[in-house]
Amino acid sequence: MNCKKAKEMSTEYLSDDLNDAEKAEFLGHLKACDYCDKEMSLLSKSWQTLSLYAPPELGDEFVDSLMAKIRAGRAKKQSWIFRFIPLGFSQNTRAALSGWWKVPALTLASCAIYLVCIETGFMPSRQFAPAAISASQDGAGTISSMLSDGQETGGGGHLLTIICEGADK
Amino acid sequence: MTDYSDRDAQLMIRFKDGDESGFIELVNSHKQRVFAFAFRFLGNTADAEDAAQEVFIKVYNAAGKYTVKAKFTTWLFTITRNTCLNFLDKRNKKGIFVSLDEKSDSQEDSAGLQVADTKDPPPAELLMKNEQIQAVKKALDSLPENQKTAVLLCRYEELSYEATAEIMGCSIKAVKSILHRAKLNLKEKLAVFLKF
Repeated sequence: MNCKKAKEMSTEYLSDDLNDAEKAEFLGHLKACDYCDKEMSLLSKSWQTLSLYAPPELGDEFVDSLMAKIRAGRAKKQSWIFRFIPLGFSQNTRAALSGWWKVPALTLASCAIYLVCIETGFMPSRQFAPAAISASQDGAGTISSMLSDGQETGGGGHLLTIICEGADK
Repeated sequence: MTDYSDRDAQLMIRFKDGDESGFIELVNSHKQRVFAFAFRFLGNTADAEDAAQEVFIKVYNAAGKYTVKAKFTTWLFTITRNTCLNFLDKRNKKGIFVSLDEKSDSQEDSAGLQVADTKDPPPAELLMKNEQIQAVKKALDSLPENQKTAVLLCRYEELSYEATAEIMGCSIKAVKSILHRAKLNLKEKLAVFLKF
């Protein structure tokens, strides 16, 4: 074995990755070569010295502060979408539903429905929005009287007719 | 294959099923190791603590998608390494460069303080030890990122080559080669202190 080969094997020896035959060959070279023996000793010492670099101990407050962060983050995420989920649902259901937009299929489906509504004229597009607003203002009395009369069935149709009429004006 | 013999994986499954105490138990078991990795990687206590918290927040948020594929610690240290890399990126983007000398002046982050607290050797010996600790810190910080990660995982966390390879996204052979270079680099950098 030459010194180059011994250098290559030195780190494997340190990690105890050599088989018995290789180990014997390597140690035989160290006995015969002063330079490699010193280099090996230095390598071994430097590896051991790494133990001196110890981190401080984490305080007990770590877990409390972590859980507080998690709860704050969760509350923040829910806050904006939470409002749109009907109050009739339980707190847990509302929390679960508030994440619907994270499901790609549901997000895509809602986008598709929205586009279809615009294309088919089922919903006022941006172009007609001001007219629709004025129409709804005109018809506000009618709508409120319709709702108070309990005409829920077909109410949507009446409402659309009023909005469309407003848009035509 | 599902390995339910991994206790941490069982705790994670418990947490996935809605038992938050499983998560808290996991944090208590691993917080010091995650923090230690981040501390040696980032070089200061404040960043390391923030990074460790971010790691566990990621674990918390990923619980729903968690499946037992590898050992839990392998997964945890993959997240820890990526989080630390993001911290370094952010630090570099903000242009925060702390010189090694500045860092070694910081009393709060001095690893030497740990030695002073736990033992009470003569002042000369203490000084020597502090110098050695600072030298180790400098030597580690001067290593390329992959060498540093390999040393932190194999030497300090005592992970297997297989786990280290998985965390670093390379082969076992590559890990051995990276470690070989890291050891030789560390020997060169620490030689001055070790020859006395």
